[in-house]
Amino acid sequence: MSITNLIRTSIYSLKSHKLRVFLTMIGIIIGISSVVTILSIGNGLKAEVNKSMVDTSANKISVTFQADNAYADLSLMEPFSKTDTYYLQSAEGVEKVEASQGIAGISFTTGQISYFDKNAAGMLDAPDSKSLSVKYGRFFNKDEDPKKLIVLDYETAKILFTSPQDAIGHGVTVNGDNFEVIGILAEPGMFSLTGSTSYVSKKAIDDMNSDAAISQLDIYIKPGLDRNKVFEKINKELKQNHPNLQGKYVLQDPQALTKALEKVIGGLTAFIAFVSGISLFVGGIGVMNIMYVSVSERKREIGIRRAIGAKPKSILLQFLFESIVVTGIGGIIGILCGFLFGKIASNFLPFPTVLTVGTFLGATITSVIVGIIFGIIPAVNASRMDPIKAIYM
Amino acid sequence: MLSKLVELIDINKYYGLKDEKLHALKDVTLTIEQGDFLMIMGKSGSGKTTLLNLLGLLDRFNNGNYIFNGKDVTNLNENQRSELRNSYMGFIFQQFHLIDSLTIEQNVELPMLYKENNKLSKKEKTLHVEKYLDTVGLLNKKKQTPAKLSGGQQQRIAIARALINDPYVIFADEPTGALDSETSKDIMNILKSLNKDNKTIIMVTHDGDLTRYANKVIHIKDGLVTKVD
Repeated sequence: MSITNLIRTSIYSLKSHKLRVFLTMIGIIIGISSVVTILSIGNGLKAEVNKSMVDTSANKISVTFQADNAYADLSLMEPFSKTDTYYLQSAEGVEKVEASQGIAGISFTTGQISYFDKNAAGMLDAPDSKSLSVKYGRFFNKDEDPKKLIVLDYETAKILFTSPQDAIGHGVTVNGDNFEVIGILAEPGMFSLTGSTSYVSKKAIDDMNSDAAISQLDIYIKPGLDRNKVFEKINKELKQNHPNLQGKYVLQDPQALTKALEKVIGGLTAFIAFVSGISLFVGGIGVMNIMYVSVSERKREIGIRRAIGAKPKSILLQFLFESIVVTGIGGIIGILCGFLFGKIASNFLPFPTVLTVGTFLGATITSVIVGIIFGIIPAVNASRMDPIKAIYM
Repeated sequence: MLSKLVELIDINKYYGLKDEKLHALKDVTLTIEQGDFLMIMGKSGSGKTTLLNLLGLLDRFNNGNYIFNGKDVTNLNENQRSELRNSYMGFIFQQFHLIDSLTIEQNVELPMLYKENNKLSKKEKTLHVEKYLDTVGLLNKKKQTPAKLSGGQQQRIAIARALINDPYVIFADEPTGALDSETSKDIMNILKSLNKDNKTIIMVTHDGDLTRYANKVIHIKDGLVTKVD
């Protein structure tokens, strides 16, 4: 039997059992759509992580020190000095060097904020790429020098001033230095972790932390250079400057972090997709069940087809093809639903979902494979029927 | 096509297991010529349908030999038997056995779909189907499903399906058994006219009145061929 005739025969049969075919498809639609939704959310998250890491640290390498003795006090060891910063600035391939004090990689500090006789203690942080919601006044502008400006958190402003909006334009002191209040942050939500943090410039934080030892160097390298090679040179120079230190300088590679994060997200996505895949398995069992019922109900038809010349292989292929068509069409509807659910989910997530060609092809192939796996046994049973028994039983 | 179309030599058929073996056909030897209208007569349970199923390669016998159109078909596998049935044999059953989910034209077209190396285009296939539907006078019903037709009409559709691949022989198992006398007459006349066009007809019946349509009648009793007229 030719492929065209096989397709025609199968389509005739499927068309005559539309409701049953549709009900069988539902299991596959649910299975495929949940897997596709999860994968598109996972892909979206991965893309977002990648994008933000590349945006913030495309040419930046961070160098920290790892002492041989894990309990050693780095502030006493002083693995970085201001002289290092000065010399590294002119090293080959380096554009700019920034030193971070305090805990490595963390820029915040604590301080006492005062307005005349009123005092409030709170966290101080530097603004990064994220934009914060301001209730009164404004946040820092990109092009201004925010050296002596402060954005107070709502609770601190309430303590220092009778009503928070009165604080705008007034001067406050932070650890003795004067700052002008330019904005008041929105009231924190019930579960906010940054509720009582006010914002000043990174420079101001570094000045406040100036007594602390340098814990990390952020080095901006020239575009196109191999970060590992630049690090090797920096490493050599630092070792020369600090020959007696017991430990090693470590490159904090943001790309490695991105990759590690991507791996975690990928693993998590795969796990959730696997759990969603269980519904696909259940859908597959549904297909098998319906195919068994179909074979049993159509025994007489199978007998007639065999009597008029259908080979066992033709019967097998017909039932297998019917199963593949059911799961294949179910799969395509599932992909479309998954795509739609992903788009809807985008509205509730801080990043857009991404449906990749790989997900699309993978889901289509999976549907066909489900059709083959769960359709093969009923199809083999159908093909092995004795024509006489099938007709007369 | 050879003039000696069918030769059965010492055919035996048993049903059941060793202890409760039923000897359904006993040493049946039979020759059927091309163009014969053969009737197999016998009471219920005599073995006439079993003989027809063996002749139509729908069932297997336990021992003996079967020569069809000069070729020994005794030990053919399922695929070879299917091919022979499809190309050289047509079947008509008492209960018509059309496929309810397909339209009339799809039912008639079906044997063509299973034919190996069928090079007819879709249009040619449609014309072919229409030709045979016209022969049985039901071209106007081609888009309907079998359930909407009377018993006589369904049997005529079954005849069209049996003829579609231009077989050498038509096997009919009590084709008038489910029909009234007038419709039975119509069906028998169609079979007779096909026989006049040199189609071999092998028919099972228990109705003695129908033997007038046949040129050869064999009587079977308890699995034994008792008489050949």
